[in-house]
Parts: sequence; C-alpha cells; structure tokens
Amino acid sequence: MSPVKDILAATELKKDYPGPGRRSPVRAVDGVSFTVRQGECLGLVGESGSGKTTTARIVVGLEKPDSGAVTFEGVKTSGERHPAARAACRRMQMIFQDPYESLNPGMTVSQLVAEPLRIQRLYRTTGEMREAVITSLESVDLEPASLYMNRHPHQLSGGQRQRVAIARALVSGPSLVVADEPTSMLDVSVRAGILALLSRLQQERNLSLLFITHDWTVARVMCSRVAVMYAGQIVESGRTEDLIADGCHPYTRALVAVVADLKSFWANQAHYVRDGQTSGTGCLFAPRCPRAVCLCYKEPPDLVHLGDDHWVRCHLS
Amino acid sequence: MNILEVRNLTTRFSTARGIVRAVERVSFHLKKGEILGLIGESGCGKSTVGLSLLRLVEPPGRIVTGQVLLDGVDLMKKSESEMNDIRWKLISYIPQSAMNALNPIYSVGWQIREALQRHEGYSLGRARARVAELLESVGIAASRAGSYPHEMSGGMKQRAVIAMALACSPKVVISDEATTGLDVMTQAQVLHVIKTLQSRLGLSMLFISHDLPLVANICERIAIMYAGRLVELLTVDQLRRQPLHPYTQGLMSSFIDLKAPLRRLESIPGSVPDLTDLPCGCGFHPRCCQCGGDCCCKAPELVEVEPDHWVACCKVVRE
Repeated sequence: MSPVKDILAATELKKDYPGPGRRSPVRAVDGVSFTVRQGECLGLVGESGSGKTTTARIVVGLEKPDSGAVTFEGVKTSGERHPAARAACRRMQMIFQDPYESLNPGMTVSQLVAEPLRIQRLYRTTGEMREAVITSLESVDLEPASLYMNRHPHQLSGGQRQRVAIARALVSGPSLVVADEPTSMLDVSVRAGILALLSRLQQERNLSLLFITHDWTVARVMCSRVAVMYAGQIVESGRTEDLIADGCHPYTRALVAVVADLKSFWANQAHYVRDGQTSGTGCLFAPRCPRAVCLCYKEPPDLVHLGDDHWVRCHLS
Repeated sequence: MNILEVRNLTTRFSTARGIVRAVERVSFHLKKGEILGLIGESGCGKSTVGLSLLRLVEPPGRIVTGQVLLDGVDLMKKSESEMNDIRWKLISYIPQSAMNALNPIYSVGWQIREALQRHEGYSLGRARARVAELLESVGIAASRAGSYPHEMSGGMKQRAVIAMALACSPKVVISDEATTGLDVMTQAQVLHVIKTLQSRLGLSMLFISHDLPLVANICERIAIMYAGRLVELLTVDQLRRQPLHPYTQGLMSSFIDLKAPLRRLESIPGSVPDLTDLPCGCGFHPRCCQCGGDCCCKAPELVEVEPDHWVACCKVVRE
C-alpha cells in the first residue's frame, strides 16, 4: 500500500472566547491537533460545547486561532492573507448544520449554487456557469436540475435544502469538505439519503472530509477514523470500529455505551460516568470519571500513542 | 385497564394555504401504568395529538371531532373552566424544549409551588415540603429549590420540568420530545428518571418523540404516525421481530445499531408530504416500495392483525 498523504494538518489549535461579564475566558479549543488524509473521512465526535464546531470553523478560516496552525495542501492557511494561502482556502468548503439557516431565502437555487463560482471567478461565460450549476445539482440527485433552479429555499424540503447546500459546497471543486452536523436537523427517513450521497461523492471525487457529529451511529457509517472531543481537547482518536468495539478512554466508552445499549448503561451507570463539573487542573474528565485516581486531578495527561492510529489522553490506559 | 382512550380524534388548521389535516381519525388507548410511545417525523401531527388531548390547540387550529376519555370521562365535553382544573391536576404536559419552559425570573421551587397552591390549595409550608419531595424524586437535591433556571444545567432544568408536571400527581402525563436537544448522556439520565418514576408511581405516559430506538428502551407499546394518521400500533417486541407497515420498516432501517455488524444504511425515498396537500389513498404510497393495487385510491383503516398489533396498510390487509 502506498502511503497516503495528509491533506490537512491542524497543530495545537487554541481558541478562547471572552467569558460573560468579567468572568474568565472560555477555552473552546484547547490544543487540538489532527490530520486528515487524502480521500478519507475523519470524524470529530463530541457533545455540545466540546469545541468541535469551533475547530471546524478554524480549519476553514472562519475563526482565527489564538495559537496553533492549520496547514492545508502544504500551505499554512490560518491567519494568513497572502495569495497562496487564499488560493488554498478556496479548495476547502463547508456544509453547515442547519439548511434552514444557511441558505439565503432571497436567492434562487441557481443563484445559491452559482455564488461560489462568481466569487472565485471560476467561469468565463454565463453559459459555462449555468452548465456547472446544472452538473452540480444533478450530482446531488436534484434531477432534473431545471425543476429546482428557479425555486427559493422555502419551496424545498429539508433534505432538498441540504442537497443544495452540498451542491454549493462542491461546485467549485474543493479537495476538502468540512461538514458540520449536516444531518442533525433532518428527519431520520431522509438522513440516510444525505449520508449515502456524501459517501458516494467522497469516493467518486476522492474528496477528503472532516465530519463533525455528536452521533456515534452517523460516525460509524461515514468515518474511517474518529477523534473524540471533550471540553476542547481530543481525548481519543483511532479507527471508528476500534473505538466502538474497544475504546480506551472512559469518556469514549461511556459515549458508546449509552448509544449502543441504553438499558445496560442504566444498569451500570456508576461504572461509566458520575456527576461532576469539568474544571481545575489535571485531566479535564477526572471529576466525571469513575476510575479517577489522585494523579488524574494533579497532572493533565498527554496524548499517548497506543499503536496503529490509536491515540488516547488518559493516565490509566 | 385503560386510563386514556382516544377515539377518532381529528384536528385541522385552516390556513391561507388551505386546510392542514394535522390529525386525522386517530384512535388509541393508554393503559394504566404504561408508557406509550408516539413516533413520527417532523410535521406528522404528533405534537398536535398531544395538544389536542389537553385541548390546547390554538386557532386557526380546531379539534373537529373525536373523543378523549380520561378514566371514562370525555374531555371534549368539558367547559373551558373545567378544563383549567383538569390540566395539571389530572393530565399534565412536559413541553418540547422544556429547558425554555421555565420562567427565568422565578426560582424553580417557586414555579413548582405555584401549581400546588393554585390547584391543590396547599399552604406555603406544605407546598415547600412537597417541592422538596418532588425534586428529590427526579434526582435534584431539595436544597436547589431556591435556584433560578440559569443556575441549572440543561438536564437539571429538564428534570425540574418533569417534577413540575408530576406536582399534582396527575393520572396521565404527556411528554412532547422531552429529551430532544439534550446531549446523549444527559438524555440517558432524564430517561432513567422517567422510567424509574413509572415503575415507582405507576405513571401513565404518552411519550412523543422522533427517535424510535430510544423510545423502544422505555415503552412497552409504540404508535407510529405518518402524515396525520396512525399507521401502526405495536409492542416493542413486535417492532423488533416483525413490523408490518412499510413506513415502520423503512424507519427501522434508517437507524444504525452500534452493536450489530455494519450494514448499508437505507433511506426512504422522497420526503414527508405537505399536510395541506396529502396524496389520495394511503398517505405513504408515493414513497412506498411495496405500493400497488388500490394503495393510491383507498385510505387504509387500522386493522388488528394479531393481539395488540394494529396496522393501516392495504398491502398487509390484502395478504
């Protein structure tokens, strides 16, 4: 097997937001590093407030990290404005969570899909642009495209809207797509269709995906590797099936257990997690960890390499 | 024994776009001490069922026909002031996004006490004692009664709202997406509280949700709703063994099981129909892969195919 090259590398990303009033700043992202390989789908899994969306926004350049760097296709893109960085940024696109919010209600489908082409000046004639829009709409199964092009977002169902958002992200031919919970606002019966579409496009175009989700079941279908985030840090990363079958970090195990079998989670709840506030020095998960020992409250653990792609941030592993 | 019986409930909304047939001839019953799951996708009318039972449908909505028998008494025949006494005391409601259902300027204890003093005529001291007991029962320390909503986490607020719904020991509780929007761990905790209360207090509950696998953990029976109608009513066992309606089958295969070997994810083609413009015949037929014969002209009725298993599907009836 030839070595697969990394298309995206995030190193030691940090981001603080000012706290409410005079309170201390909130550390949204706390030293996050990961790589996305050419053609793979990396999942970022975590609960709300774990910093996964902020990480995604830093990657595509919607937020500037306080420290750390994003390197995309060999070019440092975070906080840079020189032409090479800008050109690289164009080859990343984002799909947002809520297709009811992310599409401008005053624009038609064809205007929405054409917008990236217009901004990046990727066409010569209007005919060429129209052609690109039609191809893009048909690639997301909105066929025939002519039926949808003059509609406004409110005339589409949630699933169709998200397809428009995908067509819009892909029309400029990006090599990396960052998808932030693209199915969490959709009904389950349409969700599967969108996931299948993303998988198909990923394979057909050898796309790399950074897939943000809170749902392990979605991560299982989409992602070959996942990184689990807790309180702004990656606590474990590895192959999806490995983490589901045999995660090392107590938080990963709890997250998987609760989704896999709720009844047995209830029966052994004390074994997985306890009540507590994330705080203080040491391991951020320690106050909720049923296995925490003295060391866990004193020293923050480092990410440790366990073999293959498996990394974990826990004193006890 | 059935604590709640719903017969031919029909609720419609007259809007500029036409009549929204949110609930069409829905019938089901809730046994005493049981949690019945009411499952459907957004816009299928499941929340309207919940609101109709409490007679809280606001204009332009209107309950057109139907009976709602609570312990044999028809709520549809009650006057508005009688309903005010019945709500909360006999039948209570846990609203969607209960996290935002609390008033931010009163303490949680005060808000629960209000119901007790208003409905049960409790004295302040007695109400305080009851609030303490209620909070403990949902796993919140009684000392938190003085806390304001912003001082509590999402899961705690959710449990406080459950405590509030239980304040007057109602006969039936209707919970509308009570755990939607919570993180999985918090959700597990809240569901555990509900399940524990059910076995301890013999709670009867209609649990409205869109999450089929989740609900299968806390219910004995499940009603599946599609485009304003009940399409299948079955026990959790039957659901796992052999659901009969193509929509139920489609829903089941849209979910992924973390324990089972990985399989291809199936989706149901098309999308949920507009309730102002329902397809004729069976509401599901344009999306149904087993559609044929009279599916597109005859609306199927719920038929009992085995004990406790009802299904509304022309194909199932044909066979």
